[in-house]
Amino acid sequence: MLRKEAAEIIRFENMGLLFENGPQVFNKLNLSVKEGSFYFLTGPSGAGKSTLLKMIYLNQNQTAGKIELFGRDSLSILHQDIPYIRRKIGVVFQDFRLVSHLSSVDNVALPLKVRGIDPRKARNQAAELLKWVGLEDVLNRNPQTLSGGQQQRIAIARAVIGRPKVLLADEPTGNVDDEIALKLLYLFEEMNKTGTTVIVATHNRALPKEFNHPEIYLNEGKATLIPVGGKKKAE
Amino acid sequence: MSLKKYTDIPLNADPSGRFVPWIVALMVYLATISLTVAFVVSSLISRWDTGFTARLSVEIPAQNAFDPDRDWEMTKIRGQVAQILLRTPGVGTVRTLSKNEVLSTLEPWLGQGDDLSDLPLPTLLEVEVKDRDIVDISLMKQNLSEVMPGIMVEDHLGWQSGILDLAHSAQIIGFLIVTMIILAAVSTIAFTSQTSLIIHRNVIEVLYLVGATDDYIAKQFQYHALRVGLRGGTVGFLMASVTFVVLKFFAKDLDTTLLNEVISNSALWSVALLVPLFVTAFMMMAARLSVRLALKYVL
Ligand SMILES: Nc1ncnc2c1ncn2[C@@H]1O[C@H](COP(=O)(O)OP(=O)(O)OP(=O)(O)O)[C@@H](O)[C@H]1O
Ligand SMILES: [Mg+2]
Repeated sequence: MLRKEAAEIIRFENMGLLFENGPQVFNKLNLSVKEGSFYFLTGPSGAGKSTLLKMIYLNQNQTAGKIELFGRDSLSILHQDIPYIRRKIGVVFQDFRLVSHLSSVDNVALPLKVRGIDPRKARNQAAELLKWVGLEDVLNRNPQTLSGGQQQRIAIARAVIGRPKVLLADEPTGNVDDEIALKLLYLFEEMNKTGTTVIVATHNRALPKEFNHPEIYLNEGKATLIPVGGKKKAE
Repeated sequence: MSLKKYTDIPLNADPSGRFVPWIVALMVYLATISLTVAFVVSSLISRWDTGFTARLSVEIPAQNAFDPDRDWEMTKIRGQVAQILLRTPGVGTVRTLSKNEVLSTLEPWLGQGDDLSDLPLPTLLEVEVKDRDIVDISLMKQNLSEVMPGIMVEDHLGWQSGILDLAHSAQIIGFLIVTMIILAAVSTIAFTSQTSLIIHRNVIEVLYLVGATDDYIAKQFQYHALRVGLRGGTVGFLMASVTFVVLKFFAKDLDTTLLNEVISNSALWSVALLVPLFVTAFMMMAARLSVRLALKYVL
């Protein structure tokens, strides 16, 4: 699939977020994400990486400016349409958000089940994906009985099982050893090659250079785009 | 089983919901028993409807002395009375009771004896009523008193229709009780669903984040209500069945054929089976609706 100019899939325009009795997290933030791109989202703790991702998966509204998702103004999206937008977005949450009473495989199958896919088929696909991330031994264990790294891989499997158009990962390499971290990032790269837009939030500012992807650096309410191999600023 | 499909939220484990199947069982039991009572009552009504034909008796008072002229006049009056009765809308046949029949109706008061035949006897007419809704008894009384004052109409319809009214109201009360029981079941499941929504906020949020619709989440509650309803309904049905069997056992001793007949009636058993299904269906609707409303306006 060759394209001269990829379509814009996410767009922030003078976006501001001020929590009531809380901090001004974003102030006139501008950002444009093209379909099929791969970004690392960096910034100090508390800069708003998780919050920015939250706004993309429609779990937090802005208090100023505009957000466009898949060409639609985020504030104009109706309550009943939100699930269908979310199905296009896979999220690895910083705190995983696994459902504790469901087994690993059932957790991973969840995004397929809510789409109405036959539960048996969903479980088979989930089991396959869990094997791929090296968790074939814990398919029927509850997430709480597993290590942080194992839980993280379950969370990642759940984020990618629905073949989302956009993959948002919040510190996906935080709890795993280097070998697994590499494997996970290669998984994201593979997905990116098949057209998935990927945004990985991380503390690790070495990753953008290692993997040759642009960096979105959050600081003091603004986003700074650092292209591959450069230190150039962009609005 | 396809019910497994809707167990993403661990509603079964809720402490607040654990008592609900028992409440449903009790409600189904009470509803079934109320309907059975209504059923017995309606069987009684149909028995009265077909067993007794409605009757009136008309009494022309006895004359004092034996007098041939007077006797002739009485024959004329009897004819006129019969005419009036037959012309009254809703009346079927009119029959004049023979002397012996009149005597036998008086027997309890006068005792048996030959000398009774000399007594002046009243004339009794037995009137069969075809349609008791049409018969205007007060008009009939008025017309008869014009022929001769003192003619009495004894109205068996009064107490009979009184009992029928009572029977009908017993039926209505039975159905009202069932309605109230269904309302109670519906509110119980609606309230426990609201509690569960709060308890399982975290799971519900995750479901939302992976793309679940309000309807998908509401269905989890709906199918939970189905499981609860079927479980409670089965227990309630079994309790009602045991009650019937015990009643039947005692009915044998008492030789009350009616009770026996009602319990053996297949319509009763279909009602007993339908009650849990009905209650369950209402609970499913209530769970789904209340959750959808809460998701839309509260959460
Ligand atoms: N619901 C909220 N109410 C008030 N303040 C909030 C809320 N959510 C986030 N914040 C604030 O927004 C800021 C950004 O938080 P966020 O979690 O996005 O940071 P982060 O960059 O992901 O940090 P970390 O690297 O530690 O994960 C913080 O100051 C936080 O306190
Ligand atoms: Mg964070």
